[in-house]
Amino acid sequence: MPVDILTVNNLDGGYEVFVGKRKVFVHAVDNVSLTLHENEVLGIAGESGCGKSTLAKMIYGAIIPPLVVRSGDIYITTRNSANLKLNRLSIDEIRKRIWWLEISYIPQNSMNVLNPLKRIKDQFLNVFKYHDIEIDKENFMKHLREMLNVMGLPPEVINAYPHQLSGGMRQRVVIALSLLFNPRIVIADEPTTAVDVVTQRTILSLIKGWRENNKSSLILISHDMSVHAYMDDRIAIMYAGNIVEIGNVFEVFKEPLHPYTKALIDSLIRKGDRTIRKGLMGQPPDLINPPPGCRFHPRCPFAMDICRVKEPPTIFLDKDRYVKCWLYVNTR
Amino acid sequence: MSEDSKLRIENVTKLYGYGLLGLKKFKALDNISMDIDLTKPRIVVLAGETGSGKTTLLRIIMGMVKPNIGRVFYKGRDIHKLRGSEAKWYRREVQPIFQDPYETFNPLRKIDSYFYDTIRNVVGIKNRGEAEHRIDESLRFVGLSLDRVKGKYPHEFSGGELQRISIARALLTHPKMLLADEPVSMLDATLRVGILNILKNLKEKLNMVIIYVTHDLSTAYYIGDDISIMYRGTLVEYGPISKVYQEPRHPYTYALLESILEPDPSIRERYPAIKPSSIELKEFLIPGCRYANRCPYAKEICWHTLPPPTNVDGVVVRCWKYLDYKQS
Amino acid sequence: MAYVYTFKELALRPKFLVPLATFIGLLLYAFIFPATLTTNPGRWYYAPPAQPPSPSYPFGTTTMGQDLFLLVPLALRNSIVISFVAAVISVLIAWGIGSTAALSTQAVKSVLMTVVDIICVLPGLPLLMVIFYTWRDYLTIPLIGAIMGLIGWGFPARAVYAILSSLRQRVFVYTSYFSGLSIFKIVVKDFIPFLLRYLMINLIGTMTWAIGNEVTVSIFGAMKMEEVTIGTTIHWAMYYQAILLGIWWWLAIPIAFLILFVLSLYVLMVEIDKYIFARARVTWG
Repeated sequence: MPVDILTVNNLDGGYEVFVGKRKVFVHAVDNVSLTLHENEVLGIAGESGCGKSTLAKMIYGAIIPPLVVRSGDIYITTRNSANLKLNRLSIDEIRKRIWWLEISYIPQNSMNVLNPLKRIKDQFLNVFKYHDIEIDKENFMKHLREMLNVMGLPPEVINAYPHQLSGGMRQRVVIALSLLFNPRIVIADEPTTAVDVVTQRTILSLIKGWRENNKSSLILISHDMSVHAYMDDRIAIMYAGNIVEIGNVFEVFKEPLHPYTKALIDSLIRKGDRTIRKGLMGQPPDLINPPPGCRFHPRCPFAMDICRVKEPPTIFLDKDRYVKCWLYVNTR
Repeated sequence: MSEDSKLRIENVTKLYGYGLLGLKKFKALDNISMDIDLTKPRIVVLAGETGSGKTTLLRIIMGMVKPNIGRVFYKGRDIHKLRGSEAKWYRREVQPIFQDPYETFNPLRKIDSYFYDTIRNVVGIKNRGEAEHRIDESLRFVGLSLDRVKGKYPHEFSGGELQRISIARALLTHPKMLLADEPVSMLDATLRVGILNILKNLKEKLNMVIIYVTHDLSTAYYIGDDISIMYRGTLVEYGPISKVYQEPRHPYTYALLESILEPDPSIRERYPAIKPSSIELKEFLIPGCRYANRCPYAKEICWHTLPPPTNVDGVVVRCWKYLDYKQS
Repeated sequence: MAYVYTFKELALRPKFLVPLATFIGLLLYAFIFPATLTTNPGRWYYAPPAQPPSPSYPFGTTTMGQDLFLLVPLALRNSIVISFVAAVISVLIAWGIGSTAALSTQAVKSVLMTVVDIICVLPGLPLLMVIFYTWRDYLTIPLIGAIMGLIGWGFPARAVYAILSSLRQRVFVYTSYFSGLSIFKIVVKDFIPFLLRYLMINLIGTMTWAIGNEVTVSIFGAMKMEEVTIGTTIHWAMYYQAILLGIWWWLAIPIAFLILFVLSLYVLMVEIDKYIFARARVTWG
């Protein structure tokens, strides 16, 4: 029986911004619910602008204006089996108790996150100091070397400045930093989008190796379906702020239920295949003024009248498999 | 192939400075030679990791960067020596598409200004009505129209639309050759296919030659006819894409193809282990084959002498493994 | 999602109109008004000394019998002229050298930027004090501004160099080239909008810097003290113990006008800058 270590219930929120003088609300996360099990990789897939990064920030607890959470809760089970309601904690508590220790966040374009004026070993030292963790020099260097080794980095990196390393190596340093305290949950936001194929493979296989050793869970956010095929145990498909389908990765790839998932899988280019693929016409809706009913209906080849008017319900075909679409209302 | 009908890249070498005052030099491109036949419509892929020199090579073909050694000939003429009306002719024949659609256009300028500029200056049409007709025609080819584009700024369009607009602008001059620098790497998976299909159409319907630079080998296979694999400034393998993919000869090509992740979860266990890359600059300074550091077959000679190009079954490889190969 | 900010909207925004009106008002007060006067307000004892603000003397008078209402616009005018001349000279030199460095070869670039760096590290204030005090007999208002301009162009030159160097590398320059534009047209169509923004910042920044320096140097008395500027007025006020004697208006009024001038200029610049760049992206609040 898989244990839930993170539960998101009906999370709803977005950004309050100004367009000229008017205050508008970008509804980036619309009534999202999901659970993360122990020792699993959950992928969140979707186009840019679908809200996956916003969702990640909310789960991580980085809820700083203009980002607001309008309703819903996030529960996590810590290492000491405490149950915490993340969105009720103050940002300082989250900083000290949760970040790096329980949940780690690898941001997009993390190769640019390092302080250009500090050597790599000093950046690591800072993290220890920040969490008030006393560590003597020998232990620290040992721990550091181990971490860098896991990421396939040569020991010379310890004394280097960020600009002396290539983009891929910096990415790996940042990942090493975030895995320093063996957090139970790691949220990786597009960890390999900015690097080329070989570096991507390297980084992903290193993360995979580390995770298998530590039995931690990973929430992997990416628009690249190949990355999901390689890494995920379960996958959630996000469109315009909604999770439209969630399930075991093999099932979703073999038998996609939601029309958007179907189109997504259909547009994937496979090695050695030159048959013409169909993309999706049109573009994702404006999250300030989303269309009524199902947000996908303007682009959906199966759209029915009810889709244009009412938001579809969540239909559970299994405990961890659900789809949000009117087509499946009668198949329980 | 006569001189008049090909793009010839001859011994192109490009040096960049590093270190204090930029006095030390490393070779971003080392002795690249290639011939591309312009009479047959085809898509030639320039593939490689970041730092392979593929973008630099493309910029040299565009004429924006000058090689330190070597020359580029287009239909018999040295493109870096073109002046005046000949330079204008080259801009009519060859047009670029860039990786980041938002960087392609100045955010402070209206999009249609680029179209009018191209029509007036490169194509030479002064008549407003005729110009607008041609602009509209170009935009319709990519699925848009002049009405949708008129008077708007770049930030008013999505990435996918902007890239189509970029292609439409390039098509205005009815070019023979399109230089595409990773045109889909910044777009989402669902949008990529649309753009790639447009490029395929350009080859088939408009008889164009497209040089397509990318690090993504899946998209390369989807539209490419020939492929050149580049590593740290050297050309390691070049040939028809199906041959290269089915039987990669150079060890680097093999590693590259093995790195491609398939969008199919059922084969995930079959991926072999991979050796991570080390500090790049050291590899650029190897006088011989740049891949020697990571190659499982590296011999002494690989480190100090660059292997000559060898023809193996219609594919050109630069690797010491094949020096004694004789076609049977 | 696009928000396009039209010129009409800019022209009607209070945040733009108020500083604009203030600025124009101050210019009128500083330039037109003193021209209507028949005698030099800098003379002494033409008004009852040390009078607080009243209907006949709206800004009060100084210990030396000067009417502040007539004195302040002259002071403001001179200070504005000094800072404006300084700004123009500084901009001309900075832009000339900065753009040459950005657009030429490595060798020329290194030489020019070394010169710029030397100017940057010159200790401005002490140098100005020494120069102004030594040559105080030969100084005129515009000359004061010119000397300041010659000393303060270092940092703007670096900024122009940086802006142009990065603009050169941007991809849209290639797009313009392939749209058939000549180098000259590219500079005009692609670079000028970005540069215009910095030009404004440069001018106003240098003006503020120059006024600040002028005031400081004058307070120390290292200037041609017969000239009437905001700085010299403050100097005399402090010299004659204005605060101690309770003649607060002698200090407060010139300072208030100085602040009003700098502030209105600054807000005006921010609003115009927002207009230029709002066209290029959505404004977030």
